[in-house]
Amino acid sequence: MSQYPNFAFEINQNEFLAAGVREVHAVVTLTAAPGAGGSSAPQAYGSSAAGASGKDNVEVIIIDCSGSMDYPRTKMMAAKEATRVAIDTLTDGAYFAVVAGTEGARVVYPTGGHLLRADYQTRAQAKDAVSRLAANGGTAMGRWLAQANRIFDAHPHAIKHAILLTDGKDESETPADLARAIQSSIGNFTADCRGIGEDWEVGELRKISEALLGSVGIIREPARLAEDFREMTVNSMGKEVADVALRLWAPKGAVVRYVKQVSPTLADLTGMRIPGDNPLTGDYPTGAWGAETREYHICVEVEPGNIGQEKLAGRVQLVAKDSGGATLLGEDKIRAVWTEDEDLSTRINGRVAHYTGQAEMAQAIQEGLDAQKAGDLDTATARLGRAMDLAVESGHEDTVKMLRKVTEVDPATSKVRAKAKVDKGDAMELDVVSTKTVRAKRS
Amino acid sequence: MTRPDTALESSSATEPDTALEEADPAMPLHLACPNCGATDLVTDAGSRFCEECGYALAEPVTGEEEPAATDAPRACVSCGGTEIDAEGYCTDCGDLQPRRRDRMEVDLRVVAGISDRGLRHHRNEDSMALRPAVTPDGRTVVVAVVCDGVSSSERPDEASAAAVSAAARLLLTGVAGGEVGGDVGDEGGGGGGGGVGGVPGGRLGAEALTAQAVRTADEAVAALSRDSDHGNPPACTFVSALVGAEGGVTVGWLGDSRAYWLDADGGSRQLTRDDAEEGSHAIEAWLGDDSGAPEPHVLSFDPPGPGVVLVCSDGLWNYVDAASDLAALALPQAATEPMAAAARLVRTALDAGGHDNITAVLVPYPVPASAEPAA
Repeated sequence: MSQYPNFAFEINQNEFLAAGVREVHAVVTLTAAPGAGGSSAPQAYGSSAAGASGKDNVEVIIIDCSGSMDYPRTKMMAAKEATRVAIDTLTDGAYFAVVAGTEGARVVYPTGGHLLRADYQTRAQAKDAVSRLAANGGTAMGRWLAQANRIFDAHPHAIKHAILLTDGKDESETPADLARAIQSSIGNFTADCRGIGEDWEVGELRKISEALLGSVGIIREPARLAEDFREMTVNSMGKEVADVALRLWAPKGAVVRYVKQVSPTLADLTGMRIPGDNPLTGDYPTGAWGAETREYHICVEVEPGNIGQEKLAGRVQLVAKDSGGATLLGEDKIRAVWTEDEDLSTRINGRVAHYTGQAEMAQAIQEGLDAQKAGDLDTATARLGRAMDLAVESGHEDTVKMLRKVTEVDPATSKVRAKAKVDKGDAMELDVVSTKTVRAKRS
Repeated sequence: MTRPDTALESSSATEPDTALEEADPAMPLHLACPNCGATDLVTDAGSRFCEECGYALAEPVTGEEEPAATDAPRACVSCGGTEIDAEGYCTDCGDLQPRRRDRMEVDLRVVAGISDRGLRHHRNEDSMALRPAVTPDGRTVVVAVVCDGVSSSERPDEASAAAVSAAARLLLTGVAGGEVGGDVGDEGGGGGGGGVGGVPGGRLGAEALTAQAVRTADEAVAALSRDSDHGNPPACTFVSALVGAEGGVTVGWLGDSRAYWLDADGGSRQLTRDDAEEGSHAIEAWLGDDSGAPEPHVLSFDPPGPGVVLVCSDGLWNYVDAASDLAALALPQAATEPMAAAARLVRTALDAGGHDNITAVLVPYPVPASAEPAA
């Protein structure tokens, strides 16, 4: 029996294309069943899972210790409390570290150079170190990531996850420095990013979390941070398999237009392609998996065939990369069949259409918010109005609620229009939620 | 047993009449076994199995048979790539390789046929079954059956495949004098067996046998229907020809698949009459669970001289309708190389658009008493 969870693998598409059509779309739905050694349920304090399934977890918690974390003081206090909660939530035996992020990145626990497993004693020592953290310095998130990378390097086959908390912009290094650090972290570990307060950039944190296959979140009330840290840690400890990739074969002459995660959040994997052994094959990292469902939208452009011809437009495999190379977890085909039958070629695949709409919604929100910020209310009204239509249509209630905070109904036309003045936190919250998608309904 | 060398000359298609008359009625028919490829296969009157592999000789050839294991792996038809995966896709360009049914070719020298998917349909719903048989009194009769699956029905490709096999098997058995069941013997005007050759009034025997073949095919297609077909059970058309039955041609049909007589002397004509309004593709009779067991059309025809019988689906005659035009395309090649002539007919339909599946089977007439083994 494999040490990996069983994956259900499903591809939804309309393979029938009109003459001359080059673009082939498909949505891949992957569901990992609870593994033999682990449990999908949140684990209680101090519960022991390490060793049972032979997996190792490494958690690195990065806390922004720039000077602004003391203004107001509640931010630093909440960060310390949340970190202590996360440490308590680690499963027994998990490796962990705490990093204080400023213009540099200091490992505050452990101090001995190599990681220790979580137990009663190490937890107490770590929490003690966290309590002594002080806010004093700048912000260079690229260096924080580089430090995490160095820590993870000693555990190549473990399930590696980082939590990154900041309250500000990446001011102590150049954007190119940050981009380089992100690039060298891709595929090595995953990260969830949180911004506390309203002085950080959603776009900046999203760049990190998208590349590192995690989530981005806004903490508007410091008191909620601890619960958020607990949830992220539970989720990380629940991962069963460390390094899973989508391996895509596409025919000679084809162009992979994109490979995007579309559920539970949007993340473009296209640029993360790692070339395979065969020039027609490439791997797209999906990070670590617990018992969960994710969906991916793949678009391949192929040379159109004759009417009646069927072409394999893509072969999608899910592989776990491990010390033994790669283990195949599942596979399926993306097909293309050219037909003159319009009943077939105009058929809309519900799932592809749904996620195309979710991606458009995210883009409309981000463009609408940018225009609103720049004072271009006509564009903001058009884009946010479009986003509202798509959110209502897909039943995305969180987004509808947040869109209402930045828009108002024009009494003259009874249509949605962008507000001239909006609360900054409301706009950030909408921006953060824009890339969360709702699942397509079963067709 | 060996075939006398003189048989080769005497069967020359340029002197068909004399060949037929001069042929020794006991002359065995030489063929390649469609199963094992044995070329010294001899089908005596009455023998119905290959002596090499035991293959039943009442089994018609459809072109859908498994290829011999010795065939070299084929290169990709689109890009020339050399690796085809287990599901039939080229590992270079991804193109799905033609399925066997996409282009079925059968060349038995005394009869040859091609069934092609065409350019617009994603599968070939036509089927054909052919094969010569030897009557108990030593004459050769060629059996040819073509069926065209009704596209609006469920699994039309399975329907046509089941129909041609069931009908041809019955016709081959009947021609060889075997027991075919049903009331063929009675309609055949008495005399034993119901076979074409075994019945004194051989023509009536051929017509009764044809009618029985249609009924058998109807039952075979009806047996494919399932509850989940939602009122559209598998269905297909039917056309068959027995060429050489008592020296003539007997055809049977339902629907709009056709048989033609083609000759170079102005006698070319369509033998069948479509079960459809002129210019319409809505056929009024078919085989299948919802066919209502229609009475098949059966008629016999005395060829005025040498020529060729064409049995085909509408994918061909949609483009070339007139018998004289078909004759101009097929002859004179069809008399000696029916396979090459069939290829030419199919190519003509493909070049004209290939909107439907195309099937063309050609049977040179008169049927030689003996034939070279297929290569």
